[in-house]
Amino acid sequence: MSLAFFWIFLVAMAIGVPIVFALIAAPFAGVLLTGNDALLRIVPQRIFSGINQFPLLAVPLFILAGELMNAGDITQRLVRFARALVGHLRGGLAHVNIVSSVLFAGLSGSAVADTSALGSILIPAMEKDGYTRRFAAAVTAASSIIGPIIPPSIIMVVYAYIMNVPVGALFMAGFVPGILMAGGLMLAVVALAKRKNLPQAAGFVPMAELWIAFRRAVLPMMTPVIILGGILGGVFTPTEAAAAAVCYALVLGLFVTRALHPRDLPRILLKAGVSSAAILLVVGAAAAFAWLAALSRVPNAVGEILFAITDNRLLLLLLINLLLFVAGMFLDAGPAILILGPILAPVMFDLGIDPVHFAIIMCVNLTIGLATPPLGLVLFVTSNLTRLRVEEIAREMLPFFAVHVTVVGLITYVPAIPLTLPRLFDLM
Amino acid sequence: MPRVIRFCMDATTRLANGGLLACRVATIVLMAAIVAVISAGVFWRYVLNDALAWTEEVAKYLLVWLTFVGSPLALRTGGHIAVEVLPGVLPPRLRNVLQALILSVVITVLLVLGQQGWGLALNARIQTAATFDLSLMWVMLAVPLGTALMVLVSIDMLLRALAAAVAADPDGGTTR
Repeated sequence: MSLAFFWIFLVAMAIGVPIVFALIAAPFAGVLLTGNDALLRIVPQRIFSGINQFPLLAVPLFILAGELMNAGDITQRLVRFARALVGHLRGGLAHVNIVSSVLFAGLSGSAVADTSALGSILIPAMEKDGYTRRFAAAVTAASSIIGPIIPPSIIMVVYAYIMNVPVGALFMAGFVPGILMAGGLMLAVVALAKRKNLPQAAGFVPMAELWIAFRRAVLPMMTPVIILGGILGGVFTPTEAAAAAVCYALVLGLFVTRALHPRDLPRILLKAGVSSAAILLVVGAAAAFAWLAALSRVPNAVGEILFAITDNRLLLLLLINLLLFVAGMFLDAGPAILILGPILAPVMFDLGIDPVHFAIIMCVNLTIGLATPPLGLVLFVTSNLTRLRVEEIAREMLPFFAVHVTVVGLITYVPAIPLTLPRLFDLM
Repeated sequence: MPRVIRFCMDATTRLANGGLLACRVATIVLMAAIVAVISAGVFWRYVLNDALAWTEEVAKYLLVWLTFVGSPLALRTGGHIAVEVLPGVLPPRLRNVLQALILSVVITVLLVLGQQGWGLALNARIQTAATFDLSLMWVMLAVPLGTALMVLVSIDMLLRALAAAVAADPDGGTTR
C-alpha cells in the first residue's frame, strides 16, 4: 500500500481543511486508491470504536470540571492567593501570572482553558500596573502551557488510552516538570525585569492577609489531591476521578463560593460538551488514520529511517524531540499524539526508553507547540484576548521559549526529573 | 441576487439552525447524563455496596452520541481547528473561494462517512448491548445522524461563502 493517503492528509490540512476532516479523508482516499471498496466501512467502524472507550469519558468530565471552577469564581481566589504569595517581587504580576497557572493547572487539564481564564483577569490587571500589553500576553501564553503538564491533563488521558500507559503514572510524572517550567519562567522574568523595566509592586503582604487568601483558595487547591489520591489509592478509575472533580466543583461553586447559579449550568454544560465533541471526533478520526498507517507499515518505515540516521540513543532522542517540536508547530497536541504516538513509541521502546518517560517527553514537547506559530491554540486565544497579532506575541515570548526548550531537554536527558515521583508511588 | 437563490439560502439556513438547536439541547442533556451515570456508578459501588453492571457501557454510548451531536455545533463555531495560514494570506474574495473549496472537500468526506456509517448502523441491528437489552443500531445511528447534520451546516456555510465570493463587496460576507 502506498503512502499516497499521507500526502492527501498533508495537502488537505495545508489548504485549511479542518484537521479532523483531513484525518478522515486520508483513510477513505487510501482505501479507494487500493480499489478494495469493501474496506470503506472499516473507517466509520474505527471512528466509532475509537470513541466508544471508557477512559475517554475523562475528557468531557475534566473539561467540565475546569469550566465549573472558572464560573464559580475560583480562578479569582487562586489569583488572589498567588498575588499574596509572590506579588511583592519585582515584576510582581508576571510572577503572579505564572504561579496562578500552576495553581490553575491542578483544576484544569487544558492549556487553552488556562489562557482564557487567567488571561482575561491578569492581562488587564498587568496593563493597569504598567506592563506592556505585549509582555502581559507573552507571560500568559508562556505560562498557560503548564496547565496540561501538571495533572489533571486531557492530553495525558488521551495518550494513556492510545498507548496503554497507566494514567496515574503519567499524572505523577508531570508534577516536577510542571514546577520546573514555572521556576524557569520566573527566573526568566527576574532576568528580564531590569531590561524591560518591569514595575516594582508594593511591599510584602502581611501574614494575616496571606493566611486569609490561602484559606479562601485551599478548597479549590485540593482538587488535584482528590483526583490523584483517588486514582493512586485505587478508589477511582481516572474517569470516575474526573466525575468526582465535577461533583466537587459543583459543590464548591454552588455552596462554598456561591458564585455559580443553577441557571448557568446549561451554558456551561454546552460549552464543555462542544469542546469535548471536537476533541473526541479527532480521537476517532485519528484511530481510523492510525489503522491505515499501521496497515501501510508506516511505523516500521519511520523506525528504519531513524535508525539509518543514527543508532546513538542520545542523538535519536534529540532527533525525535526536533521532529515533535516541528510537528507541534503545525498540529494541535491531541492529533499530534494520536498520529505520532503509535509511530514513534515502538522505536523508543526498542531503544530501551521507559514508556512513561517517553510519554512525558512527547506530552511536554507537543504542549509547547500550543504556544508556537503558525498553529498554536494558546497563541490564538491570547491574540483574541489582547487584539495583538500572533507574531507580535510570539516574538515577545522568545526568552520564555528558551525556558520551554531547556525544560524539554532536562526531562529528556535526566529521566529522574519526571520519573522519581511515579517510582516513589510504585506506579511503574 | 435573484430571489430564488435568496429563498433557497434562507431555507437552508433555517433548516441548519433548527438542527443546531436540537444539537444544543442534546449536548446539554448528554453531558448531564454522563456526569449522572458515572457518579451513580461510584455511588452504588461504594455507598450502596452494590455495583451496577450497566453504567460503564451506557456512559460510553452517551459519549459517542455526545461526540456526534456536539460536532455540528463545533463545525459552525469554528471549533474544529484548521491550519489557517493560507486563508490568512489571501485577499478577501479569494479567501471566500478557498473557503468554498475547503467546504466542498469537507462535504464530500462527510457524505462518504455518512453513507458508510449508515451501512454500519444497519449492520448492527442484530447486535445487542452487553449489559442491557438494546440494539447497537441505536448507538451507531449517532454516526450517520451527526454526519448528516454536519453536511447540512457545511452546505449552509458553503452557500454563504459562494455568495460572499460573487458579491460586489467581498468583505460583506463572513464565512466563519
